[in-house]
Amino acid sequence: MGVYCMAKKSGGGAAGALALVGLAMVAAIPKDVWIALGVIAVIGAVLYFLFSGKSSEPAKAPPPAPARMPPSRTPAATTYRAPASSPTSSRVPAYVPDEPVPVRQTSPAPKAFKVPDAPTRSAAGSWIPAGQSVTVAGVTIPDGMVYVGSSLPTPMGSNDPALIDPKLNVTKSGVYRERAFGYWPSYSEIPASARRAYLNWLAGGRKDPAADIGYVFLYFYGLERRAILDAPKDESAQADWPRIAEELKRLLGIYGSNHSFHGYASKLLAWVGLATYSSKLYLEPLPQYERGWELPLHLRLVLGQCALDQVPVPATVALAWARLDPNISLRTPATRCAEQFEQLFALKYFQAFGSGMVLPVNKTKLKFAYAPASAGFRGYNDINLTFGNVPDVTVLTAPMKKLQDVVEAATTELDSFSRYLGRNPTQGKSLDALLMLPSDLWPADVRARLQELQLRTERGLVVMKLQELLAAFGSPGTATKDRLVSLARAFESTNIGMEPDILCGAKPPKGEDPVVLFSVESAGPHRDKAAYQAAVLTLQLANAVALADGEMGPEEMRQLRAQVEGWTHLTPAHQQRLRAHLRLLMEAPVSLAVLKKKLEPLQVSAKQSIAKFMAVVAQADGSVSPAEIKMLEKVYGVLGVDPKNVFSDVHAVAAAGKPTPATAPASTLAPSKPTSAPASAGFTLDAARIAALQKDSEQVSALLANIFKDDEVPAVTPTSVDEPAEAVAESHSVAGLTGLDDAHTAFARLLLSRPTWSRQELLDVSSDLELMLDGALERINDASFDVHDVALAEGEDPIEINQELLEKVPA
Amino acid sequence: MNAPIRPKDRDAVVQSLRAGVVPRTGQHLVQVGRTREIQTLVGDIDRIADGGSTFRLVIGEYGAGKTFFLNLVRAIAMEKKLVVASADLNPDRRLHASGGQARSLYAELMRNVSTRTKPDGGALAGIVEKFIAQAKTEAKTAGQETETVIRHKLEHLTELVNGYDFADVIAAYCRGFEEGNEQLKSDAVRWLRGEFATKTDARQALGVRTIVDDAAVYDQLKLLARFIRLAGFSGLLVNLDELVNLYKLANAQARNSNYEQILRILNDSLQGTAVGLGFILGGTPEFLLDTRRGLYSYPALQSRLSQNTFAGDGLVDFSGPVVRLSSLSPEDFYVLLQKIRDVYALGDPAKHLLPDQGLFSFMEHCANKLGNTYFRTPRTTITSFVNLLAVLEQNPGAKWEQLLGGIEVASDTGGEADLNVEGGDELASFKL
Repeated sequence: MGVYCMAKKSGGGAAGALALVGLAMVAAIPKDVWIALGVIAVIGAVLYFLFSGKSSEPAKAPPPAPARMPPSRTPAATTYRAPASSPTSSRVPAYVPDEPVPVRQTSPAPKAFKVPDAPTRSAAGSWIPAGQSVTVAGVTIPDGMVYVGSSLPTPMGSNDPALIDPKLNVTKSGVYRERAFGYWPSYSEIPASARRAYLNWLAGGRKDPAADIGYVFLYFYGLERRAILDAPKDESAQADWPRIAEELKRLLGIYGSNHSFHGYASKLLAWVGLATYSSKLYLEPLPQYERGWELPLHLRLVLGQCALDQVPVPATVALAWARLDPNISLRTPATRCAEQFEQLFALKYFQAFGSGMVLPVNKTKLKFAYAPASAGFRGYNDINLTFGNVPDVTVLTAPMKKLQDVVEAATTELDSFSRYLGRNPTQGKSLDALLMLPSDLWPADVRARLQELQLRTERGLVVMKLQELLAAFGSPGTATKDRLVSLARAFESTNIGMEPDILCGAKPPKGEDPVVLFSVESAGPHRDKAAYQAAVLTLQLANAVALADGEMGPEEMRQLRAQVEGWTHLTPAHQQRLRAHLRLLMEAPVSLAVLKKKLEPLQVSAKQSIAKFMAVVAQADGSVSPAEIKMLEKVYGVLGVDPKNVFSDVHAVAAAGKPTPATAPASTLAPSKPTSAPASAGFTLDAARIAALQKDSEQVSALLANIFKDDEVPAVTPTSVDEPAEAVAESHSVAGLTGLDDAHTAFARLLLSRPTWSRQELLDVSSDLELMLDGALERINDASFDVHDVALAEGEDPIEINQELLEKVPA
Repeated sequence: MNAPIRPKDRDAVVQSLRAGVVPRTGQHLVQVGRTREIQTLVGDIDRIADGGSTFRLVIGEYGAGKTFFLNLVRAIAMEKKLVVASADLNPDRRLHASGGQARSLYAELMRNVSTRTKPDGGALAGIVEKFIAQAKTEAKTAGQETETVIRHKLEHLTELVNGYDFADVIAAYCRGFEEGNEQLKSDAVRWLRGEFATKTDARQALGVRTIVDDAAVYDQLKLLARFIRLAGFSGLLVNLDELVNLYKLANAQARNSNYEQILRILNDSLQGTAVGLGFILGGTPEFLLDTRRGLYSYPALQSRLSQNTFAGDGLVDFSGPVVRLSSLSPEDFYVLLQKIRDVYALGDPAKHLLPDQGLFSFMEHCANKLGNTYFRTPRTTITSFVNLLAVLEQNPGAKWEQLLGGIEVASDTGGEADLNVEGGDELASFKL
């Protein structure tokens, strides 16, 4: 309160004062000097009259005594590098700053103090260290931490505002709860009653929350001076830093609600905290930060060091950054469920950047400009803390955007949980709440229970009532569908599958309904594939059918399970799920009526294709067993498809499974091809298939051509006929017929002499030749076939002689 | 396609197609695809010719071309010097029965015994005579009685069921020939054909004590297969179609006895106890798969017929006893039309009566009229197509574009009959 702009003003004054010493005296000193002179004059006059000597020596002159404080001749020095003996270098050997934290002070009026410092001075203001008490005006101030003395000059000439001059008069009483002075208080200048109040406050432990903030500031000025102005030149002052930091924290705890004080105190705290630091702060635990107008200095330093060392920003640091950066907006979930947000942020951060984001080294260097609260700093120029090459990463926007994304991702996942928590603040641990969290964020005990369940599923199917399951996770009663879905999803992420398959749109079970838990590998493949769906439907239908004619006996169960094993076109994960589904069906069968109702709205063609598909499924293992056929027939019946189609469909699949139609995909899964080929909408033919068929047919032709030989092929002797060798005589051969004995040759010759014969005539001829007519004809024709590929004689009665052959044969 | 086509084959094919039946010859001219299946069956035929035995189930939907495929195999077999006996099963012809239905099937098979020289059946007498003629020649050179030679040759047939009587009958045929006793010859053939209904008749006619009765059908076929090899042929292929008729049997016991026969055949051929004998059975998927009435209802068969577990997913195994014919796809059908056009033009592309676009338009027309069934049950559509070609051939001025719109194509609903099961005796309806 009331001390806002001191720093600025002091800066302005300093600039002008450099040139003119006189002006400086007029501008700065007079205020003090006039008062001082007035006081001196009055006191001097009084003393002069009372004692006739000039013995009295009140140390009211503002200028510092040069002899007492040789180092505090600071004003004389143009610049001094306060931390040249910097704590950083001395106390933290690891850190070797090439430009150790310089606090720059351009002395505005070097000579200015020479003039007023002429008068001699007694007690120079000195710091009372913490732990020591001091008595001023009868008031004992415990625990020190104040400047006490007569002289503690500032560049402007007057005493430091924080200096408690014991010589100054103090009233008997003072109330520190009232405001007694204006802006920029100075102990020397405030009314005596206010001094009394201040001393009271100090003596009271500096902790009365009701105290006027002005007194607190007065005290604070001292701390500020000690920490910033004294420390660079005084080892003991440096040693006070931790104590000061502590005190600041304490004060902030009491008076932090005052914005002005809070601002200054925090800044000083930051300064004190950073006056010494390690070069690898990111390896140390982060202190507690407060969200302010800008990113806390310490954090910026940590980030800068990360960038400088090209070290990935650890998740904790990133989280702090995300939380504290005023440019990153945090939605309610991030604050309402801070713990979960933290975990999830770390998770997402890890997913996005692995071990961490590596920041670029940008050009803007990190710099901490300290704006002092005390008027005593007037005259010192910009008080800055620099950190060597450490960049100021907060000017970068890209990393921030990335962080914002991570925050957004984490927040979004927490949305529902946060809303739930908003409505039911006490239900944070309930199952409902947990289900809204990613399962990674579940509390340890719940995770342990999940783990146990997982182990059980690995040993086999686990059947339990939904109620029991929910109870195991601490939720009584029922759960809505959404909640079950998220439960199932959480299960799945820990390799536990659940039937009924709520994730794929199954009807959510009720409390009394059984659920089957089983082990799945990873997330498992998609279950919306037609093959799987058909398999499920088959099982349901089969189950329903089995139930329709009585109990589902163990025999039927075994058979169905065997069938699931046989569905090799499904993945093992699918089969596992089907087994679980089967188990569920045993516990809670789907009634035929329900199934029928489900199937009713389907079109006939759809039902037929389902039926067909089941025929395919039944053959997935490469064979159709009678049991399967029987089941299919029943299923067809349920589907309202003529059971007689079973055979056609099964056959179509089996027949399509072979590659004879060259291009047909020889997969058993291909639905029966003839139905799919012709499109009712447009009439098309598959040219490639035609070509393949034509080629195939050519092969057949070639194959058959070898069998149905043409005429020109040379004579082939009959393979298995035992021909008496002597009966054969080439010279006797008729019409090129070989392999005939004399009688047959003669008979053939005779046959060729007429175009037709009646059967009776030939009977006579053959009996003359001692031949049996049919046998003889058979033999001759056979021989003729071998040579000419046509029969010589055809017909029963009359018997015709092949004239074609006659033409070929030279008579 | 490139080879010229004989007018005779062309006419056979065209006439059959026009009549809506499967051609008995020249199937190879219009065969589309199915290389692997044909290779499989050709392999079977080679195995039979080597004295082995085979068993195949050809399973396909109505219209998938089972009969066509069987006929093609039959033609191939005959070309490879096998004797082929074919028959369609029907309610009166079964593999096993007690009322003469099995004998009836046997008789039908024997009537249809075909060789390369007699592709239309009735080759049994020729086969017997061929055997006897050989025996006579041998007897003449060895200076022995013909009957002695025959007896000697048939000696190792006698180890089989009915073997003695079979030898007696063949000898009787020989005797009939030598004595000019036509009655004896025809009696012998009748016996071989299984046309004697009673033992008494057979005894009176031929002096044998047994006949081919319901119980002996399969044994007789095994006997015949050996005999056929003795007669100089490579082996016997038995072609049974329409096995769905067994599926349709309402009486579970009757069905099972028939399946038992199939199991016996299957076991014999897989164990190799039959010599030079192969079976090809054509049926629909339900015949195979139905677990109440199909082959799958007979557990022993089911385990033998189930697919190779390792086949599937693009791997194939055609060594299993089941050959599956897929129904025709539009592309199959298109190529088939091309082939028919080619056959019609005697293999000369210059004489094609219809451009490719015409085939396409024709299919489109059919698709619009009939929907998807036109290519899966192509019987009627093929008939229409052949009719179209005929009109185009005889009216050179006619434009196919104009004719197309007027073509009537009828839907082929014959397949539905396959699924109609005989009115059951299993208390299908029962009222109090």
